[in-house]
Amino acid sequence: MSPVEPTALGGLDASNAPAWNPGRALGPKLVVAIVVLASFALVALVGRFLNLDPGAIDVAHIFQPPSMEHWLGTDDAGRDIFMQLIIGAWPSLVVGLSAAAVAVLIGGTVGILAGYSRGWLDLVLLRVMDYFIVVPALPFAMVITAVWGPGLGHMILVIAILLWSTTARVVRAQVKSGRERLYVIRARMLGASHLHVLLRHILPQALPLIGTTGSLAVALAILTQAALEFFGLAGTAVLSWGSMIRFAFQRDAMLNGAWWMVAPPGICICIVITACYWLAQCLETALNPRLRTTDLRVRSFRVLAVSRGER
Amino acid sequence: MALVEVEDLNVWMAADGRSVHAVKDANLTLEAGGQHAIVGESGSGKSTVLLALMGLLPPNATVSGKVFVDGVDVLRGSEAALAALRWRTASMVFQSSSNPFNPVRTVRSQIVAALRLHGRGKAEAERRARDLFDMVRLPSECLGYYQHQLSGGMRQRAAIALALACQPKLLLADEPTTALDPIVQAEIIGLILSLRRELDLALILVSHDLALVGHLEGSLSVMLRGETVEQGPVREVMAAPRHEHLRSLIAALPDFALASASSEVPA
Amino acid sequence: MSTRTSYLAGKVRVAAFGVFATLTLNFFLFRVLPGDAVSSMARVPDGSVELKEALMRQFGLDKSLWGQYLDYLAQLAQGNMGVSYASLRPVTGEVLAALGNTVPMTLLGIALAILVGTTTGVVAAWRHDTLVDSIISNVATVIYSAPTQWIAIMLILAMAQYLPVSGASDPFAFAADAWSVAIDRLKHMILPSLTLALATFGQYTLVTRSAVLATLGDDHVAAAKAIGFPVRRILTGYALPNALIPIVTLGALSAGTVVGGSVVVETVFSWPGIGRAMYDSIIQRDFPMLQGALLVVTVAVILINLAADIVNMKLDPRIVE
Repeated sequence: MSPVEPTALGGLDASNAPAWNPGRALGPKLVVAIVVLASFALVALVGRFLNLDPGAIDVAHIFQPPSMEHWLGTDDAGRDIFMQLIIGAWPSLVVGLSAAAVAVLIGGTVGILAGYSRGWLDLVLLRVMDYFIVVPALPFAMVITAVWGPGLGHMILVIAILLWSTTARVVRAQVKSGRERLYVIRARMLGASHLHVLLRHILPQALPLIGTTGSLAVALAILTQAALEFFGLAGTAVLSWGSMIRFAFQRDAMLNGAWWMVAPPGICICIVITACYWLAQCLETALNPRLRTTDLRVRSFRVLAVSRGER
Repeated sequence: MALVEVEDLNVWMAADGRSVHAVKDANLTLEAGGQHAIVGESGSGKSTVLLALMGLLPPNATVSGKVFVDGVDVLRGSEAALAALRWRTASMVFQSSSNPFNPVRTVRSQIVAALRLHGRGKAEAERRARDLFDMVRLPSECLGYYQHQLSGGMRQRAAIALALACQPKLLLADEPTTALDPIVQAEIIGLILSLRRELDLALILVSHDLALVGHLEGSLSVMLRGETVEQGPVREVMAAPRHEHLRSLIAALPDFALASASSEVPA
Repeated sequence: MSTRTSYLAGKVRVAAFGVFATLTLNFFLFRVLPGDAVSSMARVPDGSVELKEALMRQFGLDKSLWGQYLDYLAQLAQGNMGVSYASLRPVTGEVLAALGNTVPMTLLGIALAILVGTTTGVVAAWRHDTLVDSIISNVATVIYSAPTQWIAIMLILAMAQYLPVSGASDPFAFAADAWSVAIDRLKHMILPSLTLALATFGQYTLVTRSAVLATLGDDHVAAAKAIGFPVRRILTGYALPNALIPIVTLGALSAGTVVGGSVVVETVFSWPGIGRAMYDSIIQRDFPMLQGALLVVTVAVILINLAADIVNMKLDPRIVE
């Protein structure tokens, strides 16, 4: 039995039998993940389209711990943290989503190209993918952002550049194995064009995989964004969860013991990303065939008592 | 008490919310040195019976009845007794498509490990591994090979060597020749049968191929969807099939199969 | 076994190509970036034309791009990576010093992550689909979802009274005996390494769990049970060795963090490592330093990946076929 490759999620890459079985995906995990993501999306929209205000600078009430008036306390300038959290939701989520979408688009296309072509194109693309995986991600991103300048749009592109190669790798492997399938070879022999094979045979198999890597990409994108914002590369104009953590660090929240400045944005990021991972894990269980395992205990089956067994 | 005593064995397997009655009221008695064959198609439950004999059924299995091997209560006895039973009293040769050896270690290391688990010293184990390979007619340099470097037939020979390592009293063979080509099939079956005689083992052979087992010594049972539809000495069962299923199986045999089967198969 | 050597040769070739490509790309990356190198270096934006020309000659910037490239390669061969614009000291020395600070800290953190991750992963696989598995898998996922800088800051908030939270050593310690210096350095290392370990172990748990789970379905594990091996023996002797390859591959990926340092961790804890050096050199437009650091780190990662490939080859003889 050939070694089965686990994916970055801890799922299993069963490129040999991509049977789509949505029934297996259902369960409390999926429900929780979707509910969480939907709620945060709602909050983000509220923060974006309702003109909320964290309050003016109130020097008398800096570093106030959580209270009835300020549910999550105040920051170093007396502004309400809870309000900032809501306002910060939109930039935090939209960048992650867009970056992941772009990464998956690029990665998916390159992966399909590389996986489907046989000769030098595949080789070249593989080398390019390898380079992006080997380069230290954050410094690389910093260089690009430092050069291009701050801004949400630039950040989306930078993160997408970092993430596309992982999707490409996975899609390439899938397409490669799919291409050698008997029905594809038969279709080609019957005269089907490459395009036809790509659209009707290869793509449908690659799509579920793109779904899982896409969810993973969103998670990674949000994390990378938080890191970039931590270093101030997103510009000071944007208020997001990542920049809230940055401000907390820079403005000595630690020295003042103001954990309420640091904990909430981090927890929000944590929750959203966990939900993304759970979503991806559920998608992956739907994708993969049930793998048998051997129970290692000496006696692992159920035995009925003798009296019931007798006739 | 006979070596193997199976009484009213029933196995239910749970899968996808449903319960399948995999084995219905199976009975079997086998003396030491005896031979029994179980014939049936896929899904007839024949392999399940074998697994039940060594207590290897999976967690989704529910079992009732009695299974005693060499006096050990497989179903309800102590776990220590069951663990001690494995490989020392009863061992198994799996289907030829399976890969029972650790893929990242040499074949020798697995055989030696099994021997040392059951009490042999290191030097003794190495010696015995070589003897075993002689017994199954494999060159001893194959001991240093990895499983994937052996052909199907060679792998089965090695698996037989592994199964016989601790000198069991009972050998269970689960479709040992399926997926091998005909000449190799004959060799492997011949090997198993001659080793059985040489070492005075009890043998339970499971197969879907009636031509293979229809001429053997000992007893035969035919299974259909979990039920044992025929059981008795091989000659009697083959001569006078009581159930429609066996009749059609016999009718489906090519004429030469049974005729040539009575001659000795080369070992 | 010539398939082995040809497989190995292939991997070496790929690595060599990777190193060469990195060298070249590295060179061009900074030559084509905007930001006048001479101005930053001279820190005299309105310097006279003569000064600028002299500097350009000194740093070889007056030659053609191809000429500069050849110079660059020649100097690299001698271990000369130029001089830092910021500190005016040789880059090679700076990079090595920074590496010396980073590697012990990151090695400790990643080693801890691998240890905790693989053990919990094995347990989760063995007890899959039970409460233990749920707890382990979900806790690992949740902690892995937390941003590294956030973990670092929370740790500081919690432990600032007990452990040093800044720098690699106490700058005021003049008691020079080696033992207390070592202890001091170790104390400084605890929080940053712990942060790194917490931020990284989750992926090891999940990958180990799925890899071991996959092997648990293999024939040889079923056979091992039939032979009578006890649970622990099957896990360590039959399941885990077959599951190691994806774990080793993951370890190779972590090598990037070990060698490249974690910029985030080093920034929060003011650790004088190579991650922070890279960050500082970006801010200060210190091209030689950035170039040198990036080069060393990338090449090290390529080499570590090659080593991982070799280890994988030893772990699973089937890979070569």
